[in-house]
Amino acid sequence: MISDAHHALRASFAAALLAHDPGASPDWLDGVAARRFAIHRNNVHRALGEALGAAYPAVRRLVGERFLRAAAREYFAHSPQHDASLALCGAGFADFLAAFAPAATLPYLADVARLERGWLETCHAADAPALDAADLARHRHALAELRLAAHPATRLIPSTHPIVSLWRHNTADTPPAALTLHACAEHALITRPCFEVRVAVLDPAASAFAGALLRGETAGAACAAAAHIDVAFDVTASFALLITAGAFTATHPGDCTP
Amino acid sequence: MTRDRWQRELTHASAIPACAGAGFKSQHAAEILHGRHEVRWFEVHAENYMVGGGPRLHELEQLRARYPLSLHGVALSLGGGVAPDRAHLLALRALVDRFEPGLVSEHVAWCGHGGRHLPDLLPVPLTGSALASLVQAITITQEALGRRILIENPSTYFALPQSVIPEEEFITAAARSSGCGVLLDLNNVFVSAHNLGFDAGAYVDALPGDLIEQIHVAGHEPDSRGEDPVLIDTHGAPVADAVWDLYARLVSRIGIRPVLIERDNNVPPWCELEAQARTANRIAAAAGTRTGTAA
Repeated sequence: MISDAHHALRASFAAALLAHDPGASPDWLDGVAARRFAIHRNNVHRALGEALGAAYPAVRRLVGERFLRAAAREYFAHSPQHDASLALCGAGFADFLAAFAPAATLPYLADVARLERGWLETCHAADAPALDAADLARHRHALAELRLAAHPATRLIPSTHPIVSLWRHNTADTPPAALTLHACAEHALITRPCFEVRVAVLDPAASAFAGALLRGETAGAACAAAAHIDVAFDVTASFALLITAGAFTATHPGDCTP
Repeated sequence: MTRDRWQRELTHASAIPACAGAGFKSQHAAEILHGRHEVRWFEVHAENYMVGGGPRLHELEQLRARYPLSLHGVALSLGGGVAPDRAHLLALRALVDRFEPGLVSEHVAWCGHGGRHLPDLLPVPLTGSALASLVQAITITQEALGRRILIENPSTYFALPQSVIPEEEFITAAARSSGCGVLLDLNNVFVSAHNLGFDAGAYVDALPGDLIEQIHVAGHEPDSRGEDPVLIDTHGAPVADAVWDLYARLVSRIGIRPVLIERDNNVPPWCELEAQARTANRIAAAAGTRTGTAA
């Protein structure tokens, strides 16, 4: 085991890098060194801000770059980045935004962030074969008792806001000039059939059905949960959507040709 | 003896050829994977691929199926004065096992404290105790990975008052004691020499050629805030002429090595990076002709 060779140096660097004062530097640095310490401060905060912005591109477009960078400083001050890989940084950013007073004028912002977090987790989740229609057909005689296993990449994000419409509009390369929103609840089903992330809109009944199945409840129980919300719930259409999206894992390896 | 074993393993089909390679960026994937170009190997940052699965790793498999790969770590914190993080080493080992990179490299730097990741390459005090802990950290890493690594010289913006060993001696001693090799980043030498006021050419001349197994060239930029004439290692500009001059000087002395065109910001179209790779190959060929080394 290595004895800690320069703990005090690291501690004073870390404190100055994270200090609120933009001119902060370790008190044992002076002159040019103290001034140039700001280069490291900029590097650290820019890297964190860029990583968070890359993880939440629609949030970034909705609030603007300056707001996002300021929110990132606050967020990482309270939720330290532990993982040396930034690929999945910002796990708690949606909850942070929900409680972040300057964002209170955008009531849907936290849910858009939840969708984007789901998208990122879906993108980087473990690979697994998806259950297809042929797999399902083998169980057609006992569908009501069927339990399925969620694919590791599947995420279901409920919301009372039209989050999928907002997200699509704010991640499009060239968004249409105006977004016409219908004030309806959109639940996002995020899946990764093969290597492409897909986002589908579910209505509340279909979402209840999907949620129950993803939690491992029987198809019969899932159907009852959906019918409780909407008596006209179309179980066949919902099943087809979930299977096409690759929401469940197969019990045997399937083809995955992108 | 251990070093011989590790060196044998580097001669597999995964070996990096002694010519120009480029950093792999997703936006260039189609041109790199399916187009015609002269770049014969690629490098990626290991931490970007420390994920469970999905398109990013799939794309790297497609790249690796066609080209040798160099795995460049940016966050192992070898110079932190403490042992490398075990989970990070395991994640790195998983990538090494899966992608069989021809080279694995890390920085002489640190990037965390008290469990908090600080995403930058922070300076190591050049002292005897820091050297001893760096050697131990490299040894732990090489044992965890089951192979030899290269260590990269840092870009430096100011001298730490604790430092008492010249950097080129510090890096040479760390490599000799641990059995690792050196990744000599010529842009970092140029930036540090400018910022600290030493002679970049003398630094490059002082590093033993037998230790240098890879070279980085990249672009730097002046500090945007003005007054202070400090250079920042941004990897956001084309390779500077002065860095190409250092490259010619180095290959004239030690012969050709794998050389990486490093670009991480303001990433240009692929053809611009390929053009810089051709420049590196042309300079190496000319230097080889002058000195009689193979080109």
